[in-house]
Amino acid sequence: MIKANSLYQDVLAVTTDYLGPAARRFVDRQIDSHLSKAPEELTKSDLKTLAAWSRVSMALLTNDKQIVNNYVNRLMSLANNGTT
Amino acid sequence: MSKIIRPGAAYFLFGIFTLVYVALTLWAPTDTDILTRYDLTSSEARNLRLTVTLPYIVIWFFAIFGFVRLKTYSHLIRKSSHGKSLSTIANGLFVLAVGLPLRAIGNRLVSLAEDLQPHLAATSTIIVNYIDIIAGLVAVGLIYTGSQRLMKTTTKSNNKTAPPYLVMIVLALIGTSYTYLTFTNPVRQFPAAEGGHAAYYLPDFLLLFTVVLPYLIIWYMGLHAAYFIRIYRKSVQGIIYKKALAYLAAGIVFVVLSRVAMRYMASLNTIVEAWTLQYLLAIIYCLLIFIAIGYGLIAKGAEKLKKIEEV
Repeated sequence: MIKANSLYQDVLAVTTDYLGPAARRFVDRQIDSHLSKAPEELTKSDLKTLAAWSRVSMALLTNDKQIVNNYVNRLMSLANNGTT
Repeated sequence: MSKIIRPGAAYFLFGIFTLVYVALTLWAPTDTDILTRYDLTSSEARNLRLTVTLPYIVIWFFAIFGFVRLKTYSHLIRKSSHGKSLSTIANGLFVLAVGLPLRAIGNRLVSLAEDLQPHLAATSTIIVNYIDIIAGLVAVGLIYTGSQRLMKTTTKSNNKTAPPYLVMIVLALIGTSYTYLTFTNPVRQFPAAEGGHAAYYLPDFLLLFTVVLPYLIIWYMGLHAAYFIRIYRKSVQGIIYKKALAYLAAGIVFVVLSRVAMRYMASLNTIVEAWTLQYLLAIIYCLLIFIAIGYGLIAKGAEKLKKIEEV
């Protein structure tokens, strides 16, 4: 549970670089809608699915593909080695 | 949604203002000074008023639309500190938006009062001026409070809260020149001739403390609020969030600065009177366009921020 919380915080930190004050609400919404779980239940195995859905959502917010790719890559790196 | 201001009520109010203003434009007589000065007949003057009326109505629609969009977004994030601050700013923008038609309708009513009951000219002018001042104070008070709270939500902003010296110098220049122009206006208290129109109908001490000083406060708070928003935008995180916020921030600055410009223009009436009608109309249209751009940017920014909360 502590590891999951830490992972959630890492996801939040990455997302804040893109969405600022709206980051928490965005991440919570993605986890709830697409993973059907509470934020503290997030695990590394969920990150691939989360990243895929976040790509779709982010693409609706910006036309800059580099920003979207950068964000998704950083999320995926959390699954691989736990760092961004 | 706030119990005080609901979007539906805002559009309904806009509709009422439009009907009243159009009716007064068609019905109220034109000041004989203006007819003489610009060599116009009554029907020519009425047609000219209609050409200004239609852009006014479009501007009012933009203003209400911008407020509704921002209010909707702030309601979406109402549980956050940002939501509460933006809601306060939105309420201030609503009061500014309502102030536009109130001033325009007030001016028409003053013309009507002068024509029907000349002894009411002074009273009606004073009332319209004070409504404008009170609305301005309430509006910038809300925008100032909301923008200050918004700025304080970012930790980086806590050190710099005073506007740069250049802004204060510009404000001092505007304030000083406005005070000078107001007190050198020969028709500030009494009309130039029988049947004419004075700007304020107030003795100088009342003019200083109840008109000039409040407007200086309004401008100071308005420019300070614009500065707070700039600080917030620079301090807040989020590449995408900042881009969306840029429209909102620019819009609020546009609206505040254009209202300052409009009031300053009104103080130039002794100089403006000498301008040709075309030049005067061009300036008025430019200011109206600025206001429309401001509220349009607010609407666009609020829409982009709202989208972040919906995807």
